[in-house]
Amino acid sequence: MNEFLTNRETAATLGCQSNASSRSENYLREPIVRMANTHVAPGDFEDDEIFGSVKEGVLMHSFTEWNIDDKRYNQKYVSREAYFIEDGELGGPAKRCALEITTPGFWGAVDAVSKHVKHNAAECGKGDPAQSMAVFTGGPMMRLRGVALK
Amino acid sequence: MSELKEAAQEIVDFARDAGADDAVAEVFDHRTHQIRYSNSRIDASNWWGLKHAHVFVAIGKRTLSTDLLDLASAKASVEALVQGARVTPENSAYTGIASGKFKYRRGKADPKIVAMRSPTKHVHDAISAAVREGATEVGGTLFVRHMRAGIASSGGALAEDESSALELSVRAFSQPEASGHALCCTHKLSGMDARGTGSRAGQMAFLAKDPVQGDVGKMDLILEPMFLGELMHSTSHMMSAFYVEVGMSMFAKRVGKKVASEEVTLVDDPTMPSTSQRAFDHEGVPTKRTVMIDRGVLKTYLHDTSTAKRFKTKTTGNAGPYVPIGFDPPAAPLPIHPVLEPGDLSVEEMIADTKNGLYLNNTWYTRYQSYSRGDFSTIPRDAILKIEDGRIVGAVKSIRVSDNMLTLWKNIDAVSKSTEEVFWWDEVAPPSTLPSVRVKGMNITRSS
Repeated sequence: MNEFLTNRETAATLGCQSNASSRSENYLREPIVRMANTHVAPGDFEDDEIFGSVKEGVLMHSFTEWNIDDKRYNQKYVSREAYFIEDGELGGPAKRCALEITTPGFWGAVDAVSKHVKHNAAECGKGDPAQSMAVFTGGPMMRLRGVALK
Repeated sequence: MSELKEAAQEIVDFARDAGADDAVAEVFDHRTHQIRYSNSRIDASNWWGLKHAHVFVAIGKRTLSTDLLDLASAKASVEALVQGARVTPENSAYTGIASGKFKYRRGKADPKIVAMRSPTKHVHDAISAAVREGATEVGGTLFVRHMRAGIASSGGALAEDESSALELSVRAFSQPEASGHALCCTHKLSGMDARGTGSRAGQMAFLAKDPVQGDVGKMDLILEPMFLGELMHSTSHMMSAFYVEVGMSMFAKRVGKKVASEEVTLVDDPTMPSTSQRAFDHEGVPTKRTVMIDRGVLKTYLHDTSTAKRFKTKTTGNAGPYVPIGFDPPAAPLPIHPVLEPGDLSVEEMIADTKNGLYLNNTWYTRYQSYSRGDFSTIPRDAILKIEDGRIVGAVKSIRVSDNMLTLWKNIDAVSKSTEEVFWWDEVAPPSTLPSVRVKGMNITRSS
């Protein structure tokens, strides 16, 4: 853990300098601390190297049902588009693969990160009154070893 | 004619003079005061005043709408809007706006809420009450609202409405992993019970102390009104004919069929006194009480004029705003104030009658794997209390309800006689009046 996103108010509470992570939806709303373009930094692997060394697994391309608790500790993602991997080869489509995992379990299982980063445009809601903001979502392909899918 | 109606009618006249076939203008004057607090101290006091207008125009089936923030330049803006509509692709879903002679019952704001300038006393009362129950840190918000709206349309709508609201949210912590959450939402100052709300949050935080990892498997759940209000967000949106048409409703093709247990009668009632009481919908149709589910049987979807024509029925007076608000789409029928009719049990009786279950205070992130099937999960937050042989025996953490929403509504076997108005953030919305319910045999999962 290196640093949190802060504004001047939260930086003062944490005893550090603001890293200017505050944005507001429009002139009528308070600027609040929120992500803008948060993603995993690229690694050293080609995408096909990542799944090419998987004996039995799933390539999860996108997800639908997802949620995370208020401590950001328990999280769940159910696949929307996913494919079986057998002996390093992509197979047929896999339906409704549910990854229900803790945050340390998720990030602790990452053993390979692609050198290619891909982004999509998205919206993120935060704050009260709610403020919807444009964000980038995406990042590199990652491999998680030995996690349980339901 | 009063000011807001007059402004709305003037905008409609501008639109018609510019060549619009249909036009609707809704002029709003909102005053909102927010107190934001955390760690048992007030952090910020915000005050917003906004006067603006939602304007919709149609030329044939070419439709366009805007949020007009500068009413002083309404004429030029509306002319530009009509000009824009001329070159807009046809909207095949549009079948016109409501027309006729309408009668309205105008709402009234509580003058004591309108005159309120220093609401901090309620926050301090709530914090003190929570601390007395054992809370060590308390946070939340208090909103004081005064809303006025005037509407006019080329179909003959012309009306004005007014409402007021106090919305207190209290989240109390007794330990870093032990919290309780309580709400007080009222349209009258006399309905504000800050001490009682703080006490309930504090009591829940105290009961939630020392949580252990929860078990998985089938369990009976007792859901507080706030928890049910979060589930009501998606359930009531799926009652909209728009969501049915676009394939995002588990209620599609189920009118006349059983979609819930016989304990469930669910209505949308914008006419009852509440924080979301409205005299008219966003196309100017007078609101009314609509029974959506009658003793478990789906009776109707929620409609505006366009969806009603496509479904060969009448509007239910649920036209949504013509301008997208939050994540709601524009010009789609929306619920205004869902009400689940009360039952005849006390919450204590429901707990005493539960052998193996959970008492759930609040939840968030209800997300669907399939909207049409209703497969979902939701992640409870704040107090998660374990019930064994009719008694609360401790607190648990880190569990998830992973099941099917139609199954949940069908498995309700007990409804409390007490109800509560709930509205919190984007999660427990729209404002709803709800009892506590017991749901039999829901699937509980957790992280591997």
